[in-house]
Amino acid sequence: MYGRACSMNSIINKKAQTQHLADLFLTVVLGALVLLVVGFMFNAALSTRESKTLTTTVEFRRMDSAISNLRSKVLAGEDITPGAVDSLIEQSKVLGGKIITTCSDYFTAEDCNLDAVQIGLGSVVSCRWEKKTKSCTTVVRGDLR
Amino acid sequence: MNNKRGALLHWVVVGVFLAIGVFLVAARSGIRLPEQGRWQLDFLEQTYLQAEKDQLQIELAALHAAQELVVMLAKNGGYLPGSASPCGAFQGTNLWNRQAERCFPDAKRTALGQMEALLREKLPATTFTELGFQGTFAYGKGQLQMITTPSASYTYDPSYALDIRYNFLEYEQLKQEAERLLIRCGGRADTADCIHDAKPLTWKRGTLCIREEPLSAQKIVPFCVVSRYRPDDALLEYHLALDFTTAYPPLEVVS
Repeated sequence: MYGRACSMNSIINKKAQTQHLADLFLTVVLGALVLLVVGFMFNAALSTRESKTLTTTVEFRRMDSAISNLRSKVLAGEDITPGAVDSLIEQSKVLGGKIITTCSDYFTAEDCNLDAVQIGLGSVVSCRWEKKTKSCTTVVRGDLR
Repeated sequence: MNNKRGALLHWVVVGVFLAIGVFLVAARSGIRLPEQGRWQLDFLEQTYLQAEKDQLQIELAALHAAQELVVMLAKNGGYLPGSASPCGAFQGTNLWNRQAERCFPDAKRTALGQMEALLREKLPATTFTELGFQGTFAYGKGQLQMITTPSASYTYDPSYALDIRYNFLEYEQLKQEAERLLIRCGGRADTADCIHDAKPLTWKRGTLCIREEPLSAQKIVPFCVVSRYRPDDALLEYHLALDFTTAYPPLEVVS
């Protein structure tokens, strides 16, 4: 009789752990949801970090290209005011893989006349394409003759 | 009696949810991960980019110093402002000769000395061991500079080689033309006519290159000569004076 009671208890204990298949299913589903939530949070943080790094890297490349561009202009004898260097670096932007610091850097008439990267925004100068020389020159606003 | 061991799994799940809830409340702004490559980017920004900017400023300073110097010397007949030619001056223009005595300037040497002084003033933190002008280029060899940050140090070379769009050899040409003019017209009665016929086209009598002064009988004549170079995109003018009072013997060539 004692042996019979023991075997019945064992059967009851095992049944209590996974009494309903629903409980198991619920546990698995909830576990998966928890992992999803945690995974989503970490993924969001990772992509934020990635985009931040990319932005900083792109900004570094832009500044490096701008400085190189200015140095090549100076080496060719072009006059640049020392005090304007920082503002020229700040206003430089990339267009079609090329750095644009001043109007002379535009290589198509359309981009030049439109000032595609708006380097003249907020200043008294604008860009104009010269058909004769096929180059983009800087003009002072109000002097567009 | 039901076995309560089965309830443990449920309480664990509840515990996990509680933990997530506490975490979400505590990290209200989300999970923040440090930027990848932060140290490397900081290093590049604080050292490499700064070195590039410094080199750009050095090149700009050297270019402006050289261009200012060229214009300054030309205006004073190859001499520095404030220093007169050994032969004196006529109406504020330095004389390149006094009768038979020659006072042709050594403009290149003067420029080198003054360039050193100008760079010391514009770039006090940079030392140049060698300065020179070759062709249309001005060059300077600088001592290595170091940029130090709390976590790194970076060394760069501040030397420069710039196209100043001017060649000091033009002074040799001017000297030859002056010499020829003096030999041909020195000590003559018709000096004015002789100068008018013999002077090169780029030489204008007087102090203005845009307007030539009329012929006059004076024997000491100031000239304005237009250079073929334009270092700062503006017209470059040499101002010098020649003395035609006496006959001018040519230099003896010693072989």
